Amino acid sequence: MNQKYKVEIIWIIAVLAVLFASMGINFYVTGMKSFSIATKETPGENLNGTIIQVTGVQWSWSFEINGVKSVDNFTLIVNHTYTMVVDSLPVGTGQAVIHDLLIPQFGIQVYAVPGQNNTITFTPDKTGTFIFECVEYCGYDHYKMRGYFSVVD
Amino acid sequence: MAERTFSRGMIFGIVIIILMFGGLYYMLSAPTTLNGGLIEPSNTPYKDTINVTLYANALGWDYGVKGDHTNPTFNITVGTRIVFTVIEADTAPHTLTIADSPSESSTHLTLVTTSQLTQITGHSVTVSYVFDKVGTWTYWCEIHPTTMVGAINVLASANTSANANCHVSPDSAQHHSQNNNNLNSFFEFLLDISGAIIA
Amino acid sequence: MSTTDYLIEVSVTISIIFLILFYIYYKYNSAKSEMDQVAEKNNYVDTGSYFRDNFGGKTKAIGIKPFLLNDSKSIGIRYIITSIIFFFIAGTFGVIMRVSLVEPTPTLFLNRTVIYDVLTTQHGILMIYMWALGSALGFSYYLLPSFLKVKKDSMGGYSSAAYWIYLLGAIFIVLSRSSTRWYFYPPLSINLNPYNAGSFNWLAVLGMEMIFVGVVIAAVVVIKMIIMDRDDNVKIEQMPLFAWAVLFTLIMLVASAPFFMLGLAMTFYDFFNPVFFVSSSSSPLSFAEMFWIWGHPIVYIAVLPQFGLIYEIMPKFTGNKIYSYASGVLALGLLMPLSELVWGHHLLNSGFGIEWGLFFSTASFLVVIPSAITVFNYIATLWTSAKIRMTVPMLFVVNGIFDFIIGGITGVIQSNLELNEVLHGTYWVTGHFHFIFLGITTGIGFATIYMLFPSLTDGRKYNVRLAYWHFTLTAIGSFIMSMGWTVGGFYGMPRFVAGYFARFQAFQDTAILGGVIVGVAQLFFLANIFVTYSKKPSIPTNNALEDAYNLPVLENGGE
Repeated sequence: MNQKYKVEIIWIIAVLAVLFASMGINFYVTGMKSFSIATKETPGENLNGTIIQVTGVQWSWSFEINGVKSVDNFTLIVNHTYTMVVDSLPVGTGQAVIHDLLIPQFGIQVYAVPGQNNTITFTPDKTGTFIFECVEYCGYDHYKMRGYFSVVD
Repeated sequence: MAERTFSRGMIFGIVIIILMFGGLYYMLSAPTTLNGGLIEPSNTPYKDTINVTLYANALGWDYGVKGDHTNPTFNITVGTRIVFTVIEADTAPHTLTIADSPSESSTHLTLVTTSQLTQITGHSVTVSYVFDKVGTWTYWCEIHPTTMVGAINVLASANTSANANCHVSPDSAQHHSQNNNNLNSFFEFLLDISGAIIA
Repeated sequence: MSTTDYLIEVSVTISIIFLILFYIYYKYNSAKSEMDQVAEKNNYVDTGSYFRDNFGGKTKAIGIKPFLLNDSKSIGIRYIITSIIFFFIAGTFGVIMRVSLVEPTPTLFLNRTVIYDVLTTQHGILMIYMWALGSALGFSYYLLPSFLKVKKDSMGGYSSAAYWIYLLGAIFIVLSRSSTRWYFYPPLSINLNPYNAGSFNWLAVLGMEMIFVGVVIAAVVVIKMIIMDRDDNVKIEQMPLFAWAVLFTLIMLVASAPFFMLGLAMTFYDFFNPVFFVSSSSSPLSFAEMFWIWGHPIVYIAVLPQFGLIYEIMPKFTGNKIYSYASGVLALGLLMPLSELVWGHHLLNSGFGIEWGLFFSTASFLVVIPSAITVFNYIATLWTSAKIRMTVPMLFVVNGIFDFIIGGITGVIQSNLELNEVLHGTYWVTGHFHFIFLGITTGIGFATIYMLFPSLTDGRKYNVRLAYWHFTLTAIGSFIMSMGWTVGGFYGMPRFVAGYFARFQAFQDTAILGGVIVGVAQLFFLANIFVTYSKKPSIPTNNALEDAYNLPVLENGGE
C-alpha cells in the first residue's frame, strides 16, 4: 500500500508540473504582442465596423466592401475595424449548402449557413498577404474555394 | 482435414484482396458528370455547318469576343450542325449541356464534360451536334446554370443565319488581372505568413 | 401468351416457392427440436448455448460455418471477419486518396476530383461503422459469453437478422458511391448529382439507416446478455472491465442513435419534398445538431470497448492485476454521460453564440478527467509490474496508450474556444482522431485479433516476425501521418480537399509517406494469414484472453 501511495504522489506532482509548465508557455506566447495579427471581438458586439458582405456560393467566395464586389480576393486597411456578415446563396436549381470561411492567420472562422447571417468583427494589426479557405465540404470544387487577400496601409 | 483448412484460410485472404481491388475499381469508376436522355445523333444527315466559338466564364457565356457575358441566342435552321469550340476563360469547371426545350429539363445531353476541360484559361474543346428538331433549345453549364444559360432557336424556314449579340464590358478584364496578381504575389505572402506565425 | 396462362404460370411458381420454403422450415424446425432435446439432455438451458460450447469444438474458426450458426460465438466471428474485410477495403480507399494529394493541384484525379470525395466519404463511413463498431461488436459477442459464463443464448435469431441487415446496409453504402462525407449535412446531401452528394446518395441514407437498425438490435442483445444472462457466480461488481466497457458503450449507443436515425429519415423525406433541413422552411443546422448528438458518442463508442480490451490484455503480459478496478469502472462510467454532453463542440463556430460555445467548451474539458484516470490506471499497472513481456499484443497496447496521450492532448487543445476557430475544419482534427483511431481502435483491435489467433485459425500460431513488422510499420507510419496532419493543421491546412495551397505540400507529403507506410504494414497482416494457413494446426484452440476466466493456469496461448 505504501508503494502505491508513493507512485501516486510522484504521478500527481509530475503531471501538475507538466501542466503548469505548458500553461506558463501558453500565457507567455499568447501574451506577446507580435503573436497577434488581428484582434477579434466577441461575435454580435460592435457592429460599427465597415461591413464586409461575404457570400459563399458553389464554389467561390464573393466579398462586397463599400459596394465594391470582388470574387475570391479582397483588400483591407490596417488598424481599421471590419465586420464580416457571412451568408450562403444557392446556385442554379439546387439548394444552397453550408460553407465555412477560415482565415487561419487571423484566427477567424465563420460558418456560412443558408438563411442565416453570421457576423464577426475584427481589426487587422499587420500588413501583408493572407489566405482564406472553405473548410466545410461543399461539393465538387470545394478545394477551389480559397484565395489570398491583402492588408495594406 | 488439413487440406480443407489450408484452402479456407487462403480463401479468406484472397477474398480480402479481391474485395479491396473490386471496391477500389468500383469507386474509381464513379460518374463525374450528369447524363441526360438526349442521344447524340452521330449519323444524322445535316444540310449546313456553322462554327461557334464560346468562351466559358462563370459569369456567362461569351460569343466571339472575350469579355462579354451576354449568353448569346443563336437562330439556325433545322438540320444544321453546329461545331462548338468551347474555350475556357476562367479557372472554374464548366460543362456545355443542351436540351431540346426552353427549360433545363431532364432530357439533356452534356456535350462537353468537366473531364474534357482542364480548368486552365485558354484551353479549348471542339464538339458538334446536329439540331434536327424545330423549337427553342437551351444550352447551359451544369455547374453555373443561372449565369451561363442561353437559347438556340431552331427554325423551320431557311432564311436566317447564325447571329449573336455581343457588347464588350470591362468587367471581366479586371477579373483576370486580379487572378494574375494572386499568382504573382505567391512568394511574397509565403514569406510574410510564415514569418508572422513563427514570430 | 394469354392472361389465363400467365396467371397459371405465376401461381404455380409461387406455389413451388412456398413448398420449398415450407420444406426448409420443416427441416429447420425438426433439426431444432432435435437439438433442443440434445441440449436438454446435456443440462443446457437452450440450443444456442449448447451450440456455442460444443458444436465444432469449443471455439470456431474463420470460415463459412459461423455464417450459418446462430450462437453468439459464431455471430462474434461473423462481425470480426466482416470488420477485417471492410478494414482492408476502406484502408485501400484511404491510401489511394492520400497518394492523390502528392501535388498541390490534383494529379491522380485530375478533372475527376469527385472521386477523391467519394473515396474520402467511403473511407470514413466504412472505417467507423464497419471496422470500429463492427470489431467492437464482434469482440463483445465472442468474448463476453466466456468472460461472464453466460448461461442462456436464446437471442441468436435476432442477432443473426441484425447482422445481415447491418451487412446489407454497408453494401448499400458502398454501392451508393456517395460523396457527402460521413456526416450527411443536408443541403448538400439532398442535392442528388455528382457535383454535390452523388446521384445515389439516397441509397447511402437507406444503408445508413439499416446499419443503425442492425447495430441497435445487436446492442440490445448484448446489453441483455451482460445484465440478465450472467452466471449467478459472476457478480456485477466483479464483472471483467471489458464487460463494463461494453455495457457503458452500448447504453450510450442505444441512447444516442435515435437522434441520427430520425434525422436520416427526415433527410430521406427531404429528397422528395425538401422541408425539414432547407433554409426556406427551417435551418440546415438543425440536422447538424441531430447528427452530432449521435456523432460525438460514436467516436467514444469506437474507443471505449478497446479501453476495456486493454484492461484485459495488459495483465496477461505484466503479470499483475489492474492497478485499480474501481477507478477503471468509474472512468468508463463517467465517459458515458460526459460524451453525451459535449457534442456541441463540433458546431462552435456555426453561429449559435458565445454562451453555447462556452458551455460545450467547458464540458469538453471535463472529458479529460475520466480519460486521464484511465491512462493513469494503465501506466500505474505497467509501473507496478515486476516484468513486462513485450509481445506483439503488448506492443500494440503500449503504442496505443502513447498515441492516445498525444491524441487526447491535441483534442483538449482544440476544445478551447479561441483555438477552435483556428483549428476547426483543418487537418489538426484529422490528426487528432487518427492518433486515437490508429493507436487505440486499430491497434487494440489487432492486438485482440493476435490474442485470439489460435481460436480464430483452428489452433495455429501467428508468424511472430511478420507480426512485429506489422506492429512496427503501423506505429511508425501512423505517427508520421498524424504528426504531419497535426502540424499542418495548426498552420491552417483544410480538411477534405482534393487540392491545396502549395505552402502545405511539405505537410501533405509527410502524411502521404506515413499513410503509405501504414498501408504497407497492413499487407504484413495479410501475409501473416497466408503464412499461417500454409502450416498445419499445432497448438490448442484456446486463447489467453478467455483462459483467464475458464482455466486457472495461464498457458502461452497468446504468443
